[in-house]
Amino acid sequence: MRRDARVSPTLANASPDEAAAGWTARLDKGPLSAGEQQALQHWLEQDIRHKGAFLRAKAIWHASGRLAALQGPTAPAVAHPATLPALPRRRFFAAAAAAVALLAVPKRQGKANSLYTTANALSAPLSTAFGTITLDCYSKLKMGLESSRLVSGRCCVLGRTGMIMKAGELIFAPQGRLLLSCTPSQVVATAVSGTVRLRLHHTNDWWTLRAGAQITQNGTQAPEMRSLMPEELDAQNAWSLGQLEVHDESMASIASTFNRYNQRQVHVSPALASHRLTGVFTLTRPEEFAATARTILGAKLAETPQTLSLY
Amino acid sequence: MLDNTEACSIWLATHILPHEGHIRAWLRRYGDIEADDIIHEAYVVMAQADHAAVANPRAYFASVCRNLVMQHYRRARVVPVTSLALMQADSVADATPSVERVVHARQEMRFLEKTIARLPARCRDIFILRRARGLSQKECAAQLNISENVVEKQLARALVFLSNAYSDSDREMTVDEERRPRLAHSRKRQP
Repeated sequence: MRRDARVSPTLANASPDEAAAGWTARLDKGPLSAGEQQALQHWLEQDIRHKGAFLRAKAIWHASGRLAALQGPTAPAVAHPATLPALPRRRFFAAAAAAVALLAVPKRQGKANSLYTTANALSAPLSTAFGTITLDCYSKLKMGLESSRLVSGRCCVLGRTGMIMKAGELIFAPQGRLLLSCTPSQVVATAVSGTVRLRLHHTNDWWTLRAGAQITQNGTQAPEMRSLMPEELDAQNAWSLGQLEVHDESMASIASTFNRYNQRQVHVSPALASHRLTGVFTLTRPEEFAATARTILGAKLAETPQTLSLY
Repeated sequence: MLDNTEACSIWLATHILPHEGHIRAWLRRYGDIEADDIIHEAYVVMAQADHAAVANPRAYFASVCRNLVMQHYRRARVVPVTSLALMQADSVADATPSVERVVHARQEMRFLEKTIARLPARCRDIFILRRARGLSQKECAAQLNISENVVEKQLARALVFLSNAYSDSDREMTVDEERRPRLAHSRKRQP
């Protein structure tokens, strides 16, 4: 097929698909100039396959527009660094940690900095003067007078002006719902709603994460930002709502997640382990999951107060 | 033909594009033809069709491609005997879709999401701002503090990426019995 540098305003030596994509993106930008119109017409008439590639590119463009159906009319997800005024210092930080009522009482240690740890259950929301923090299972949180630090595991922060969260080398000022996860080598932060300002320790460049945006920092590398698709966001946020959302996941993997959150352990026989399910479950009700597996997969169930065995 | 692209593109996007991976898999069995050429020509033929009269778009797509392959062989001076035999025996492509090979709208949505997730970071951000969040190219450029030309180029790049993904979408676009999501109807949402 003949290749022509003039086929597209954007791509030289392009294949028909590349040129068609270039023209589709160019048409999306605004009306063509007379010269461009002529170039497009010339390219289309050169070869019937150019017409086909162009029709196909436009069809793909339309298909991708379906993504908007899932997306509310929210603000853009990504904003780049902007220097913002320093946050006001709050001198009086209510010692709210002492007053929290917990579903699964996290172990609290120390005084000036309260350390909360969770085992196989979510914590109830821990109140601070500027919002609440819910800890995932097997997580550790240090709550200080002016800020809190996620030491390991995951937490969900519902913050308002004044809330300061730290994890790894990052410092967050969330005004809305923020999901944080922290391992020794990686910190991941996801803005679920509202906006989250953040900066690296020892720097004064503030970034803004808007709803749907996620930032990942590996070790000492520069943080990477990306936008999440709405379904990805729902799936990542599910645990903080007490839900387990699985898409085409194996029984073994689902059972192991339930077992992290519950005393009552689910055992899946090897024959069932690789079967896959999709659905939304309540994290604290492994019985619901066992009943579903019975109905859908025809599995048999043996129950004791401590275990649910599917085979 | 190209003046009426809006309605036509929507029809192609909705009824033809999701089946492309499957049709290409069928075309790949004929080693001596260029699947891209057949598919491109097929889009031109299908764009001119009376869309309302097409009851089974997948079968229609398959039969258009089959005719183009036949034309290709008629024009060719040397046609491998194996290809002709394959052509005569082959009825797979235009069979009515079986229950196992139906493309679900939801499946296609997941395919799109997965594909977009694989785009390079900047390209993905721009594509999501433009296509999922509806910002104009100018607004995307202002939002990301980059030039409009960069936005245009990255959108074209994303389209090429999607185009390649649709070409190879046979496996992802079809749901067989064992992998079909079973509990989608029982999803509970927090109010």
